[in-house]
This record gives sequence, C-alpha cells and structure tokens, in this order.
Amino acid sequence: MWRTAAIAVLGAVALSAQAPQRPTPQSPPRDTRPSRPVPPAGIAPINGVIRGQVVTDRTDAPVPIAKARVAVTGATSEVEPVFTDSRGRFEFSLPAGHYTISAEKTGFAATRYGAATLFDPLVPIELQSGATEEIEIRMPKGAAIFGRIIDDLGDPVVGARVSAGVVWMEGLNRRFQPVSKTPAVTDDLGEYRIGGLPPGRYLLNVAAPSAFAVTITSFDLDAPPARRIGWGKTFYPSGSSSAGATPIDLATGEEHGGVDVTLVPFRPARLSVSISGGATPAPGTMINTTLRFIPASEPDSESAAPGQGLGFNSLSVANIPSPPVNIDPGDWIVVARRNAMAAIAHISLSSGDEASLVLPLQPGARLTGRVLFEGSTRHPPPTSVQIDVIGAGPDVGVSPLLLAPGGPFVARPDGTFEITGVIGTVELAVADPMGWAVKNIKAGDRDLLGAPLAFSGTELFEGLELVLTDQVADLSGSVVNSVPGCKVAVFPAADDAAFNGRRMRLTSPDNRGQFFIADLPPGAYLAVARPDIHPADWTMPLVLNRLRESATAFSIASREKKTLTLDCQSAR
Amino acid sequence: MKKPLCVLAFTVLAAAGSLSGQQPPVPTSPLRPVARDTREPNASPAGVIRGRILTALGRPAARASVRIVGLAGGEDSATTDVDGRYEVSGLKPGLYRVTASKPGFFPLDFGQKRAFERGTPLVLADGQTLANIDITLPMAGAITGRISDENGDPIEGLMVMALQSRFSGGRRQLLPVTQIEPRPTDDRGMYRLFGIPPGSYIIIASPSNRPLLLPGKNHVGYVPTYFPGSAMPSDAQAVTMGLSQTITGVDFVEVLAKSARVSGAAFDSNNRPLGGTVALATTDRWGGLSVTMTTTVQSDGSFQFLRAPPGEYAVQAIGPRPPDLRGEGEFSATIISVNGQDLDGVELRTSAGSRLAGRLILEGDSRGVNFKDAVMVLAPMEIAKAPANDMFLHRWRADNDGTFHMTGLTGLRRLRLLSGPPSWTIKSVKADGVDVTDEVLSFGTRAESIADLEVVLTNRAATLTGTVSDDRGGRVLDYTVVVFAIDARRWYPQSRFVKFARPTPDGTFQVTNLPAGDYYVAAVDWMQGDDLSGEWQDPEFLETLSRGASRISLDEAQRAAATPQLIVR
Repeated sequence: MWRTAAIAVLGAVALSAQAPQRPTPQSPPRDTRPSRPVPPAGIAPINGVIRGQVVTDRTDAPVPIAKARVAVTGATSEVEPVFTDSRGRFEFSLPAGHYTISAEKTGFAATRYGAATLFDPLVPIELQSGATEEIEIRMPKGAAIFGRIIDDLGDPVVGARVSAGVVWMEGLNRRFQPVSKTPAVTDDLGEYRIGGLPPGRYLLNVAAPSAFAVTITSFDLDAPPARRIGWGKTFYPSGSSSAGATPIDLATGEEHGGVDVTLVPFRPARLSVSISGGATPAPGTMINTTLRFIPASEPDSESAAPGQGLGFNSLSVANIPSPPVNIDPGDWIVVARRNAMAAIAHISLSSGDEASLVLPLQPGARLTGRVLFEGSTRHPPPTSVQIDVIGAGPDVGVSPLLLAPGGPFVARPDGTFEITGVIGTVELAVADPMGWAVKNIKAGDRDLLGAPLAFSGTELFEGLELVLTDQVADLSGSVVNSVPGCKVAVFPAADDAAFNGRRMRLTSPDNRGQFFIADLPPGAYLAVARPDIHPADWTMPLVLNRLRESATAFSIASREKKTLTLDCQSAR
Repeated sequence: MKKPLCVLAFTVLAAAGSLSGQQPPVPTSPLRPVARDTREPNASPAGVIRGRILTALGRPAARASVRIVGLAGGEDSATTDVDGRYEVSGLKPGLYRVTASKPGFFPLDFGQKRAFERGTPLVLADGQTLANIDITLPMAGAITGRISDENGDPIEGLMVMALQSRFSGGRRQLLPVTQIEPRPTDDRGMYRLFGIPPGSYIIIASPSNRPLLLPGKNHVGYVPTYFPGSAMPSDAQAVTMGLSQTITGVDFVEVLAKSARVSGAAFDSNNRPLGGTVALATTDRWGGLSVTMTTTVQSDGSFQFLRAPPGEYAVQAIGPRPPDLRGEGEFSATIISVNGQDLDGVELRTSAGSRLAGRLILEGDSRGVNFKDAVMVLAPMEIAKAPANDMFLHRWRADNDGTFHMTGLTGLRRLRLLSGPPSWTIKSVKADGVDVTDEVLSFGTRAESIADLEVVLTNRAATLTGTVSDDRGGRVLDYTVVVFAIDARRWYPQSRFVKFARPTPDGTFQVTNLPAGDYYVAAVDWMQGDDLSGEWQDPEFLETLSRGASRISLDEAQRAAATPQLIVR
C-alpha cells in the first residue's frame, strides 16, 4: 500500500492513450476488398440464399448438429444469428455480396466456414442476386486442456489466468497469440479448464493473478526486495519464454489433463537508469523528465497498453544515475523523454538482477517529404493525408505518444509533410483518403510503407515521396483443385525479403475458388496455393524458402489488374 | 547491498537543513515513499504486532496477506513468510484490527467468530509488543453444479453468481455478495463458485453479453435463471452453506423463455415528451425492488424495451432533476405483467409532485455546529411509488440560514437524518404546525405540498452504557447489543429508535444518540450487519429479540447503564 503512496508522491502521469490495435490473427493485414457485384440499373436487387448444414467433423459418418448457433458477417445491417434445426440445417436470406459464416455450440470448437485451423483467413462466400449457395460446415468436437497451477510451496494459485495459444511470427519477431480474449481463471483449488478447442498444436501460458502480477516500478532506496513476491508469465511446463515451451498436441475432442504448471516466484530486479545528452540545465531550474517502463514481447491480449510510467522532476545535472528502480524480471522497453529529446532502450532482466542502463537523449529522427497524387481523378487536398507512426517489430504495442509524440502528422496545404521526434522501431501508416490508396513512401529507391524502420533518433530522411494513387494494382485469380483449407500466399521474389505486411499476403479462395488481393505494391513476386500454410508462421524466412520451391513467379506493375491461376494440389 | 549515494539534489528542501545534525545525510526528497501513515512526525513509535497465520488444514498460511487497520485511521500490511509468520512494527499506540486473508480461504479478523462480523480490536500501548496474534483461516465454502438446456445439453458461458437477501437502503433486496466472484460455466456446463462464507445464498445463472436467441418474431432466449430452475425470484430456493463446506450438484436447467417487447409513451406534467428515463424494476419475494432494464425516452415521448423476460414489473418513468438540483425529477409508475406477448401502449404521465420548504433548528448547545453538517433525505417507505434507483433520491443540506426547499416529491416518505453532527439526533418534525415526528408523509399532489417543515435537532440524546453477562453471571466480552423502542411502530427502516453497538476490548458497550423513550435492550452472541444494513433493520429479528430483552426508560440527555444477559442464537 505504501508503494502506491510513493507513486502518488512522485506524481505519476498515467497515459490513457492506447496503441492502435494490431490486426488480430483472424484478419490478415490489409484484408482483401472484393468488389461487390453491382445490379443492373433499374432492377430492384433480389436476395439470395445461403443455406446449409452443420455436421460433426467425421469423414466416415458426419452427424448433423442441431441447435448450433450460426452467424453471418459481411452484411451492411446486422443479421440475427440462427440456430440449426433438428437436421442441423440453417438458412439466411441476404442481398448479393460477400459473407462469412461461422458456427458454434457448447461442446464443439467454434468453426468458420472454409477455415481449417483457428487462425486461417476467412473464406468469403460470394452470393449473387437470386442465387442459392449450399455449404457444409464441419465442427469438430471441442478438445480441452486442463490442469492445476500451484506455487513453489505447493499451494494452489487462485485467480491465475491461463491461456492456450500459438506463437505468431512476423518475420523473426515472435509473439504469443492466445486463442481466446478471455483467459481461464483458476479456482480455489488452482484448477483451470480450457475447452472448446479445435484439434491442433498449442502452447499454454499462465499469468499470475492480478494481485500478484505487479509490474509497478518504484524508486525505493531501502525496502528489501524480498518483501514483494510475484510471478512472471510462465509457459507450460516452465520458463518465461515461448521458445522453450512444450507444445500440446490435441486430437479432435481430446481431453488433455494434467497440464500442471508450478509458478516460481521471482525477486524484483533493480535497474539504474542514467540519462545522457541534452542541454545541461541551469542550476535551480526544474526539468521534467519522464521515464516509462513498458513490458515487451509476448504480450497477452490485455496488454496493448503503453505501460506504467513514472515522472519525476529533477534539478539534476543530467548525467547522474537515478536511484535504482525495483522492476519485475522480464523484457522491458524503457523510454525517456525530456523536452523534445528522447531515448529508447531494450533490456532483459532476470530475477534478482542488478543492472544499469544509459539512455542517450536524441532529438529524434526527422523525415520530410511531399505528398504526390498519381491519378486522373480530382484528388483531395494534401491536408487530408495523415501519417501515423506506430510501433513495430520489437516495439510493437508501444504507444505512438512515446515513439513520436508529435504525431499523427498531417501534410501541409502545399503538399509537404514533416515527421519529427521519432525513436524506436516504427511503421509508417497512412489512412487511405476516399477513393485513393497509398502506393508507396519512396526514400530513394526504398519503399518505407509497411516496412519496420528502426530509428536511434538521429536520422534525417529528406525528400520522401508519399505517393497516392487512384488506381491500385490488384491480383485476382482462381485456384484449381482446391481442397479445404487451401490458402494463397504471395510474397516478394527477392531472397532477402524482410517482413513487410503489404508485400506478404495470405488469403483464402472463396467457395468458387476465386481469390482477390487488393493493392499490391508493384514488383516481382511469388505466389503459391497450399493447404499446409500456417498463418502463424508463414512469413518466417525458413518457411518462405520452402514455399519458393513450388511457387509461381509473376510481376505486377503499377495500376495493373493481374490474374493468375494456381493449382492447389500440385503444390504438394 | 551497497546503498547508492544519492548525489542528486532533489529539491530545495534537501539543502535547507531539515535534517538534524546527528542523523546520517539521508536526502529528504519527494521520491522517498511515505512509509506508514501511522508514524508520528516527531516520535519514534515502537509498537509491534506479530503472530502466525495458519489454515484450517493445520498448515502454515504462507504468503497470506495481513492487514492492520488503525481504528483512528492509518493502515499497514504485511505478507506472511513461508512459516505463516508476520510482524508489523513502528505502530503508534491505539486500537487496531488485524485481518488475514489468502485466496481460497475465508478472510478472518483476529477475534472474529462469525461470518459477516468484525473481530475484536486490539489495544496497543505505547511501545508495546503484542505477540501471538494468531489467526486460523477456515477454508471457504464452494458450490458446484451443472447448467444445461431443456434437452440436457450443457450451456457454456453463463455467468453464475451468488446473491443474498439483505436489508439495505431500508428494504430487503437480493444483492450480489461481493466476496464471491461470479464464475462462468465451462464447455461441460459446469461451474464452481468458491470463497463462500457460511450463510444462505440464491444462485443465479445469466447469459452474458451474447444472448442465445432462436429465430422468430418473439425471440425465445435464455433468461437469468434462479436455482432450482425458475426465472422468477420468488421461486428461488436458497442453498445453505456451513463452514468450509463444498456443496455439489447444484444443477439446474436454464429457462428458455419468450421475451417480449414492452413499449409505450411517457409524458410529463406539461404534456410534453418526458426528457428522462424509464426503468423496468422487478420485485423479489422479500419485497425488495431492483432495476432490470432502463431506457431513454425518445424525443417524441416513446420508449421501448426489447426482450423483457417474463415477470411482473414496476415501470417507472423519471424525469430530470430541477435545474437548481433542489428536488427530484417528475415521477410516475405502473405495474405490468409480461408473459411472452408484446405489451405496447404503456402510457405514463409523470406528475410534478409536491413541494416542500422547511427549516432546521438546532436546540441546545450548538457552538461549533453548522446547519450544513446535517444531511437529510425523505426516504421512500412504499416501494413501487418511488424511484427504485437510490440515485434519483434527493439528499440535501440546509442553507447557511438553516432553510431548505425542494420540488418533485412523490410517494410515501419519512424524514431521515442521513448524517449529522456527532451526537445530534432528530427531536421533532412539524409539518405546517402539526407534529409528524416519525410519521410517514404522503407526497404527490400540489395539495400535499408542505410550506413549513420544522426539523428540530437536539444533542440532548440519551446514552446507554453497560456490560453483558451470561446465564452464570460471568462477563461476556464478545457480543452485539441492540437497543430498540418497545413501540413496534418505531421499527421502521433506519429508525432513530433502533441502534446497535459492539463492545470495546474490555467488554463494555456504549450506545449513543438515543431519543427519549422506552426501549428494549438485548445482547446477542452474533448478528449479521454493519452500519448501513443488517439484521438489526429486520422487524422480525427485533420481534425475536424482544422476547429475551430487558427494558429501560430513557429521558432526554440521560446517561443510563444496563447489564443485559446474553441471548445465544
């Protein structure tokens, strides 16, 4: 309790801003934008029908599932979900368009039509006016993982939050993505149960109960660290990193028990932070320096927050080490800001560590350039172009307020823009103004759009060109010999391709085998259709190299509407 | 560990020599955490409280949380070590309450014998060490069960909660028990509620954010269901939990009911669309009223509730409070019955209510006492005719000259002093010259307005002190004493004629602020309740107590003594 007093005394400033949401794995970055069929003028559109049956996922004798809740997304106005009848049948009457259908029922794993694994992209169903689409949804019986969480003394841990999930790779950056937004919470016996899981391979992550998951840091000269105990995030069977975790393989409907985890308490680490650089303050003046400590890597679904921070005033000569901070072991991102200068550092701390960190203040990277509109239609004013700087790579999830507090940056009426004060690893994101799409952000012959950029805070990029176009290049095509779970992957042909969310795309063909990828930057690419591509890790260099072997090469020019035909089976 | 030398000069204060010469140079900076509120500025308090926490299983309660709360203010805490031992030092003299808690067990005060009661405070002298302040934590109870649909198939994701019937806010209500966390049903339809203290509980399962609906014009869906399987609170059966019990098999079927639309129009006393809200409030078997759904009245006066589960409701329309915030919003209510059929055309016309003007008089030595120290409320006595939501009730203080006025009053009300200057209590209430002390006042029409409500407060109240003995004449140190008027008409909720007290560590009690009158005095071994609500508000409880109570007559400002005999429940 007195620690809260300490923080109050220090005048902590809590950031209320949230980092922009990362796309959830269910929706791939920059999802496909299939065009809607436009009915001929003068004819009132007639609804089509999507209907079908929900059955158990058994190849020999699938059994219809009654009272399954079937929901449809993609309609302009909300459509009420329906329940299947005693024969497992359902029916929706909908206007022409593209829809996705999902089904759920207690005891079964929630299933989306066409998706084979939990994180597969949605398979759209193209519905035309007056047409009827008949589909089948196969729901596997839900598997369950259950066990007991105890502490190192053998007592049950009550209120621990347990999640099953997969490790999601973005290039080489790994993050643990839980299956569900809400973790299972252990009861008074320390027991938990996660049910309704589709078959697959999972990791289990345990976070301490909120009372003990203290990530508060404090300036504390003489409170013994042993007074506080806490438990960090632990992966089954033990350890704080997903890299060493034992995966759990679940068959359909399997009851997998005994997944017990012992939480071992840690002792806080003590970190000394010293700040260098910046003007020496005149004696007697107050300088506001803020230090923020952000938990890094493997955040669970709750921690998109920018982390807790402490602010303190100091009369200091700037380069003296601060009093040590009690901080929980783990991976941390530390950001210091003083006036217009900033510094960022990453540190990994283990239980009981004594460490020190030097943060050299820098003015922040500066990027200047102009907005160009390529196109024949009338373009919006440059002031409608807004550039957001969002955390990427190791700094994903860090608030833009910390990485680029001057943002978002709006272009000036004369078309020029200036991005200042950027530190850390960021991505430049531009919202598409109506009718236009961002083609690229050129820095010489480098395209900065969609690519993570690491700034130490001293860089200067001049002469950037942010190009907007009213004609985008699209890739569409069809997949022949499609099997359930077939996915189309498109990625740059170049061997050294670092992760780029715009140029690495994964999509599913719809119920007719058609696929569509909108707004692909010009360049040379490879495309492949296979059922064994896993959304969670396909952008890893190792996986891409394997996919290269069976891929089709193509190149796309600006404004080109390219079509391709891919064969799913022969890619085996 | 080497203490870092803090060369950093933190504030001007550090240089100003606030440190006494003998001490080592420790910087006084705003960064130093305030260690304990209980520390005297210039003394070095040395009081110590220590002990051991065990669990009822006989094992030490490691990493248990121990809170030491000073009754005069201030709080400290400790965590037990591997052996369950704790120690808190640096305490200044005073009265303290020690509470231990550990998840999975029942939190307990030192000296606590019954659920929902407080334990015995400890007296800590200057520099004293109190050792062996040990507490054994009982295992908390648990309730498990399975919730299925009408075919026997499990339902996942229902939120299961434990409710209790409590006397609160002047009436009995079914309220969630805060110590018991709501838990969801899992994929087998099973749930486990834990951390349950002994008592009687109503179990309810509610569909959470995504209601499960079936198609059709009148939606059929799962509605909050009470064990053993009804949507009506009046059919709910309590599950009785003993100490550290696990009750299994609390299974039931979630009710599938046709919910219906309730719609209509609400207009104010000027025939304009009501700029307020309409609430559906439902009664439970104990006469309490709780709000189920609320909606805003549209600009044309219409309102609607979609999917009202079956049941009997009070539909209450409440207008906005007057602009000067002196009073309550216009009000109107009607009772409806919903049973799966849409109910349209519910018409509500709110009335402006009655006005009231009055003044506060302080009789007796009122030095240092301000009119503004008293907070008053006209507490509703009849449930369905006043806003079910306490938020809409007007609470006021008199102005600097002692006067007050308000508008918008409806229903049967009784004047109550919510809080006042210490030891002041209501002596009399006169409405336009007529004595209405302790009477219920009726409001609603203009004719029922009161032009002059004279409220006289006095600090010449009686005090009753004493001790309690058992049937063998021995002194009892742990009890609750209830002092209540012999006249049963004075047993209304929050009555000034019903008071209770717990003993000090040496076993004496003191009940203050008693108006003159004839009283029962009863001492019981335990009683559920706190200052705001509890059994002491329940007329049935008082009736039982009266049979074993002694009697006393109190005059104004009398200091009387009594030694009631303990009633064991």
